[in-house]
Amino acid sequence: MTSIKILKKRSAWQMLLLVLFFTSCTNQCTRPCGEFDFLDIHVIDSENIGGWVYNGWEMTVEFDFTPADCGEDCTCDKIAWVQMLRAIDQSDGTYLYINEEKEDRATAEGWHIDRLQGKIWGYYGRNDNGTFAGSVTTGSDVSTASLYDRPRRGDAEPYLGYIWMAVSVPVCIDNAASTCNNNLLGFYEWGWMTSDASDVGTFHWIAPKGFKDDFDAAVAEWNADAAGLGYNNFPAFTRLSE
Amino acid sequence: MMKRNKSNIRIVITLGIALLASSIVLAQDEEKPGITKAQHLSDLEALKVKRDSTHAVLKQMELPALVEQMNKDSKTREHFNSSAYREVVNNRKSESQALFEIIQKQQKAAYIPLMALRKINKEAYDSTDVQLRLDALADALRETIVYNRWGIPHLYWQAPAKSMIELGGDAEKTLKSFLSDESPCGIMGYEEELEMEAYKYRRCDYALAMLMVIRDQNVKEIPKDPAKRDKMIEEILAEEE
Repeated sequence: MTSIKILKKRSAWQMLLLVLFFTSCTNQCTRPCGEFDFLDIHVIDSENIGGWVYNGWEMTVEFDFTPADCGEDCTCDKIAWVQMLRAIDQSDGTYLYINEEKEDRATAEGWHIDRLQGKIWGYYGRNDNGTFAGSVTTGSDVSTASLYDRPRRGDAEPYLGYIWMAVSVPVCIDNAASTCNNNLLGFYEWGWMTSDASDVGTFHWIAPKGFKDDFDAAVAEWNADAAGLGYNNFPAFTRLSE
Repeated sequence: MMKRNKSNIRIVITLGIALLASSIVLAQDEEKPGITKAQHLSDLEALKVKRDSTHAVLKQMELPALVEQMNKDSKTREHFNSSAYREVVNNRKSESQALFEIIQKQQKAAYIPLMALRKINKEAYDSTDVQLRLDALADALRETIVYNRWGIPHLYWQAPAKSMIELGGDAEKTLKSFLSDESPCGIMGYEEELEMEAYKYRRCDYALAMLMVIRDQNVKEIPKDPAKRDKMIEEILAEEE
């Protein structure tokens, strides 16, 4: 009788653990081919900068590529980043942009590739000559790739009751001989929000699976407009990260 | 009793292993206190419902109400971030003549309704009163703190700046009136901020840059050094004397 009780107890424990395990991120999140590390440099909360009061976040996201995590044994000597973002006015749910072009090339869900208008590459921080700005350190299968950003908005309407979100995606590029070339290696979501009272909250985590389709759509929007704007198309990407 | 203890030990060990495995999986899934991923995703769903409702309300609004909303938005938002502007531009092309008439009847127009008309019916926009347009654009420039609605002079222009430049010689006097205004300019967007930091643009520089385009000068070569731009401004101001 006692052993039956214990068995029942064990089954209950095991069931609980199974439930915990399968309802954790593994079930809802993308699976990176390596490890992300997020560095919260500085939360900008109602700070006076050069005469204006801002909210926002200064951060760095890093990625160490481990091909074996996704069942690959490829090498890659240049890992860059593509970042998509969107911002939402929480008072009415509508999207906010920083210029006309970004609105034009946004998806129906408000996502758009994060690049300064006029830059010909869609890769984050890539200069027109193919080098990268100081905001990006390209990585490889043996070195860390990093992306620095500092989004901020005025501490006033419509940026109170506001949510800003980005998905940063490391991608192997310029490695024609590698089987991982143009492979998407992971998806990391991060962002910040302001309350109506201008309090700033932040968040960051491995992106939910649903954002992978949003990413594909943002890339497709970029490519659809690229020729007309004199920009370079993104190549066809493969999701190494599931 | 011994059996029970052994079983309990097994349970504790199993629990420990499972928690360890789970923590490894979750190690890259940090959540800031107070904002969980589940809450975040739920908030996004709620915002989608709110957005759909906003669009439904906008669709039902009569044009005068949309113009009123655009007038209000002109004070705090960029045209591309005004929902009323988006509604007019995307769904009210057939009402462009009515929009033209509403704008013309106003003694003072705001810049967003004008930008909406320019987008859906350029011909009608071009036939609005020039002074009405100049005043609206000048007000917008004067009230701007964050310059995303204008663009970045050496990189790209947005609709209000293009509209000002289109006015050509008619805009010169208005633009010259800003040449002494050294209010610093902010902008949203990290890469955009770096450009602004490199050039240290002031309101007078935006006026100077638009004048340069009107005068067929290459604005892409506008000096990075504010002192050099001040010299250009001095020369323009001297023209009036």
